[in-house]
Amino acid sequence: MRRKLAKAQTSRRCVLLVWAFAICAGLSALGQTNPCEPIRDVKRFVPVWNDATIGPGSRDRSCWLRMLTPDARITGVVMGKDGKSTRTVESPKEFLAWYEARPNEMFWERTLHSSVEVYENVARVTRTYEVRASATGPVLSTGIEDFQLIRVGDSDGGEWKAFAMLWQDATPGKPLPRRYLPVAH
Amino acid sequence: MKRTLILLAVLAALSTFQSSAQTPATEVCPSSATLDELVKALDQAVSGPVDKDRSCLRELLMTDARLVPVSKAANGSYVPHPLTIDGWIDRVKKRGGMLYEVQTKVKSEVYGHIAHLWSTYEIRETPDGKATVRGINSIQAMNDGKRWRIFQVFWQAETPEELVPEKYLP
Repeated sequence: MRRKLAKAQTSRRCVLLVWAFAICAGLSALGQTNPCEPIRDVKRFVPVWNDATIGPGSRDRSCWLRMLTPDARITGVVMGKDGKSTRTVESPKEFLAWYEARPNEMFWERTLHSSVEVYENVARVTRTYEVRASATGPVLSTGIEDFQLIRVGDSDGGEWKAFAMLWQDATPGKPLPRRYLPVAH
Repeated sequence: MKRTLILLAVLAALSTFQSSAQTPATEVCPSSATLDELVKALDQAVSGPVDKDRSCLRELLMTDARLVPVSKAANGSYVPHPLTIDGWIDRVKKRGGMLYEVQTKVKSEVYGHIAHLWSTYEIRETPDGKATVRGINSIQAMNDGKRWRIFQVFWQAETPEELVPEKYLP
């Protein structure tokens, strides 16, 4: 996610890696979410996704992969300096390769706002996020992710998985609209 | 001489008439500069005889768009069935007859160049007929700077056991 800005922030992230990793481990110990939990309730998707995303580039992301169908598409829209947009379309594994190539970088995210629409076995989840190099570090970027989800399997009511994710980083000239920010943001 | 000129003029006029009668009128694709226009353009591109010219549909969809109905498999689980544009066109052609789709209630989320439309749809056999199918379309769209185009449509049709919730109805 957030690749354009993440590339520009590499050195800042490396400095805070050790700190952030320790905080990340602490959060996990608090048991706020279990990143590998099957998503029975679609409202659990965002917190589990958030926790499955944060961590160093070298993190085991098998839980993250479990949240997507094997044929999921991840599409990013990146704005160029000329104001033109380009898009990247990747499989989950192609997407993860970008992280794996940055094993020592820290990716810390917080969900700012999310909304869900669901009809039986299909759902939409929209989430805005902010990226930092650590839980308390400065915000490096913000953006939005839009998911299409399907409930697969029939045991225990099935499990929600993302079939598509569309994302775009916010740009300085076009910040996230107020309606996609926390009330007190 | 005068009679020859008149004859040539009549022949030329006839030729022009015949030519225009043989060439089908090219459909002008509606604008999709706004999301409201995109929704109307989608309905227009989908609706009509199932074997209609699909140039406008192709204009509206990105070339690698996926059209994904979700349906129940034999084992009871739900699975996506991704179709390319050509795959959808072939599938609809096999259905035969006429198809009129209308988005009856749309909720959108949009930032920058990306948008999501959560839309209740109805399908009729005639423009003013009774809806025979209803369901939910989940549509991801992107703006290339000039217009919105659809990147993926994900949908589930309503069944007697799984009614579209009241809040999504017009």
